[in-house]
Amino acid sequence: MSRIGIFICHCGENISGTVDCGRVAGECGNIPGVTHSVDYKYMCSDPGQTIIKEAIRENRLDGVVIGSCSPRMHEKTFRKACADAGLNPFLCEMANLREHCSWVHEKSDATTDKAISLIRILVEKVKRNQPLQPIRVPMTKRALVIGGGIAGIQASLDIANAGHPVILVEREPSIGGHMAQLSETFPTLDCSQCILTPRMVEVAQHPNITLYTYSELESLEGFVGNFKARIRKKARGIDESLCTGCGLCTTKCPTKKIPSEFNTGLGQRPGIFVPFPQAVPNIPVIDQENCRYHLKGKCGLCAKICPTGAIRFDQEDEIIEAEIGAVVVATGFDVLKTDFFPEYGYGRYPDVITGLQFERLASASGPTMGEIRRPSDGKIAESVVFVACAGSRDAAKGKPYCSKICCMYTAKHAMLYKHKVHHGQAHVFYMDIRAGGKMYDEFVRRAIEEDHVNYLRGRVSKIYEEDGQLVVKGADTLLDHRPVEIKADLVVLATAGVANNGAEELAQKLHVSYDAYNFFAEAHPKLMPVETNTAGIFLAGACQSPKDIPESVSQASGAAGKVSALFGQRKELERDPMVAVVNRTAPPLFSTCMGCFLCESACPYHAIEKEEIRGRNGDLIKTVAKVNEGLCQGCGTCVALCKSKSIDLMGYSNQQMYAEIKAL
Amino acid sequence: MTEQLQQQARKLLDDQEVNLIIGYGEGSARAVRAVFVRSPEETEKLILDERCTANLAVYLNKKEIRALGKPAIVARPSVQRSIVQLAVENQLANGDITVIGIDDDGTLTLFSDLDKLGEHVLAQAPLRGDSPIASSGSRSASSEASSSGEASSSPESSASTESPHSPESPHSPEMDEERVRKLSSLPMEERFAFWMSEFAECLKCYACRAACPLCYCERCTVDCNQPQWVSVPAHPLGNLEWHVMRAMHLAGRCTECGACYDACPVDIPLHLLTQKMHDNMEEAFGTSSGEKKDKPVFPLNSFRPDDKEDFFR
Ligand SMILES: Cc1cc2nc3c(=O)[nH]c(=O)nc-3n(C[C@H](O)[C@H](O)[C@H](O)COP(=O)(O)OP(=O)(O)OC[C@H]3O[C@@H](n4cnc5c(N)ncnc54)[C@H](O)[C@@H]3O)c2cc1C
Ligand code: SF4
Ligand code: SF4
Repeated sequence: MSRIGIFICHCGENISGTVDCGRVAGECGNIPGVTHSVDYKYMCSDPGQTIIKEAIRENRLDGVVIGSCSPRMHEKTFRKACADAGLNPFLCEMANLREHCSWVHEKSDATTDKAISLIRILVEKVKRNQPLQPIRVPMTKRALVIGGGIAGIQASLDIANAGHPVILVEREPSIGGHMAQLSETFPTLDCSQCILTPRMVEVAQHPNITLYTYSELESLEGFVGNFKARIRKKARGIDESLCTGCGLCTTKCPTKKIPSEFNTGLGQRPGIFVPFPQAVPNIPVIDQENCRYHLKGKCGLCAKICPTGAIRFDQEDEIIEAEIGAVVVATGFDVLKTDFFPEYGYGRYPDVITGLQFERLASASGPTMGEIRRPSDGKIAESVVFVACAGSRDAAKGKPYCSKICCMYTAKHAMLYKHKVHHGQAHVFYMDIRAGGKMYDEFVRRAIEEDHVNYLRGRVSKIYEEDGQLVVKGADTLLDHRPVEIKADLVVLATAGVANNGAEELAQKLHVSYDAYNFFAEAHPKLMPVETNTAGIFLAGACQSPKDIPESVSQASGAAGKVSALFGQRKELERDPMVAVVNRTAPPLFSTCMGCFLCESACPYHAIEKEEIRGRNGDLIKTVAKVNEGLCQGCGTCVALCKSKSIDLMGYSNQQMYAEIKAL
Repeated sequence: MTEQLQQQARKLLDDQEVNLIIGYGEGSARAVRAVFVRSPEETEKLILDERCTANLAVYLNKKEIRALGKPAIVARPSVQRSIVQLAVENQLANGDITVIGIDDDGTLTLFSDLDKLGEHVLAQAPLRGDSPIASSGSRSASSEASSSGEASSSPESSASTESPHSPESPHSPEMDEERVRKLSSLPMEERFAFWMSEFAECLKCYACRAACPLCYCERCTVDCNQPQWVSVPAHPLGNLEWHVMRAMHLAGRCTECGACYDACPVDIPLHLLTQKMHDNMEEAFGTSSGEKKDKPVFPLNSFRPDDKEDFFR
């Protein structure tokens, strides 16, 4: 006979408001196999846990059912309390009397009856629970960080400083991401490069960090603690060990007029180039699509000039394989281009630019040396219109979300402009001003009050050209929707932040979820914002949703903290034992698995492998499925799929489920 | 045609290519039964005519048969489809068997490569059950490589029109399709009543299971008593559970040979359930079981991160 203890929690009044907890405890005490049944105001509190622990010891309980909130909330708490009292934690089950009963029903006898039923079914389950032991898997203590923007840089440095090796993979020729392109940063207006470049250098020099730029993740296989990564190091055309970064090659290259990606098309670069002077590493890349040697087979000027003979036209992509324990994804974001907007000229007007392009205009190292000259004719812009929410918060444009950073950087842009062109006119069209954050609202107020930026609340319906002059047409909703038309030399669209190129593909390679806009999905919006739903893969920065620098950096440090905590465990990794198991039966069957392996492709986590059952003399008896317990996430897909019911989920076995149903 | 088959079978055994031929032979009272030919002399027992419709693929998984060595199997189109599906489900591998394919026009083709068989099946019009073999006297045996070229001379004489199935339960692909269509058009209550009355007849003899080449589990879920998901006695609820389970387990896998119906002693048209399921699968995923060898052939077991249903992500 079982000796089961029942503990009914009032959850303050959350449960006891509609459920008669006393009656639940009383009646459940009569269920066969139950030896102890009590109720208490807060079971999760210290005295509540003490009640449980003492009852386990005094009544020698061999199973516990707690009627309280959701297991998501407190399963760990209660299982730990049981373990402290010497009971195997997996002999403790929780009935969700709150979300499944008290919160969704009126106060009535029927509600209390339902609570009793919920307890009764779990009593039958617990009777069949097996004591389980956590699974231990070995672990490689090396992190892979994908994306070398500020988030990836911060995560790499934090993990490396905790003493663990890090591989940082960046797709572009240099690390730095969008922050390297920014002029000055809100809310303090410190120079972006000045605060970023020291960190970039630190990455390059850190003994624990291996940096692969101009590289991409080819594939990732395995599971937490035991990933295998293949990294494609694209052919740079340079022998990196010989290059001294003197830059002579970039001055001699005859192909000069390629729009510079770093300068968002506002400047030009040669065919062999370093994206910006402070690039890390300071090693050029040959752009094969534009290089004369690659196109015509003739030229090779760079090879002639290079003092160390580092140019390698025939270099090929290299695949690097590495064992990895945890991954931080920090691939950042991108912004919509002006050609997305038919009403703003489809990218036809050179003087309608994005916020990111304005950053390059305002940057001291940018194509105009920091002067606000308009792209069409290089004239200093006397009147600038900034349009916030270009694309964001617009369901019709497919981006119903707020890009979060635009209100702030638009205020910054207007302010920078006024600082540079004192007599200039700065107008901002906005929907609302979202300036939540330390010193943020003060910053916007400064733009309005001290720098006299003209804020107009309303949307811009159209931008057109009239006699060579841009006209911005909108309405001022604070003045009774009065139509406004402003002549502008330059229009800056704060275009929506969007998921980076290739984000969806990368998510699929990593088997992590992503949302409808291809931003990577966190495991829980509040409680697990840096985890993904794949164990061992974490998120940092704007790849999860548009974010500013402070947020990106905090999330990066959070992800790095998670990785360090994971690596800080002993040699092995402990995991919950709720995994699928393929059965074994007596000979001559050995297992009811027929080896159809239909489960193999059904498993979302690639956890199903083949196993050969061999006799004593080594003869093959049959090949059956085997679940890799390191990979299995306990989703149960295979259990439902297997026709011969050869797979059971530990802690949720067929027998347990059946007993629960029968008890209803 | 029979002669040609016998010659081919004799050669396979003489050359010790296989140890055993699974084919059709004369039973009692004009009935046909399966024969297992193990010596060249015995090949005389093999016959091939319009009565030969039972799905012999069901024997391929039987331990007793496997113990006899490598078999060659006489395979009409529906048997060919079953074999391809068995290969998809990892129950047969290349080299395990030789297939003596007999197409509807009587062409005989040998297959040792199951991928080739898959292509052959794919190239033919999808069928429900087998049509009667065109009973022409002589047709040249063709090898795998040249089969397609030689296959298509027109049937010379009286193509038999009589139904290949047992006289008590006549059914043809057209009739089956018509019945599925009719049933699907009924309101749900009537459909349910129809099936409940059909299932009421079920004896739980499991002849349907025994006849199905794809019911190869060594322990069927219905025999599992820890826990007893499906109740054993032949009462309406238990019968319903059994038939729903059987149909569900064949969803997307059934190749529609009709052997289950032919086997049922009380004529429950249970093949219409799997047939409907097959239609649903084809509609939803555009796939047909027993036709493709490349994976994933079975949409119900394939996880793809880019699935059109976004709850997957
Ligand atoms: C116009 C504008 C002005 C801004 N001004 C400010 C400001 O003043 N203050 C502020 O706090 N914030 C500002 N921001 C926000 C700031 O740019 C972001 O918070 C920050 O860049 C996010 O950093 P990140 O590392 O997450 O992403 P990113 O900077 O986008 O870096 C991502 C990196 O990952 C790399 N990558 C992408 N995909 C892959 C892949 N598949 N494999 C390998 N590498 C990959 C990219 O090449 C890039 O280097 C501004 C943003 C914009 C658009
Ligand atoms: S466990 Fe089930 S689904 Fe998987 S191979 Fe075995 S029989 Fe097939
Ligand atoms: S329970 Fe889910 S994760 Fe585990 S093996 Fe089965 S399908 Fe894969």
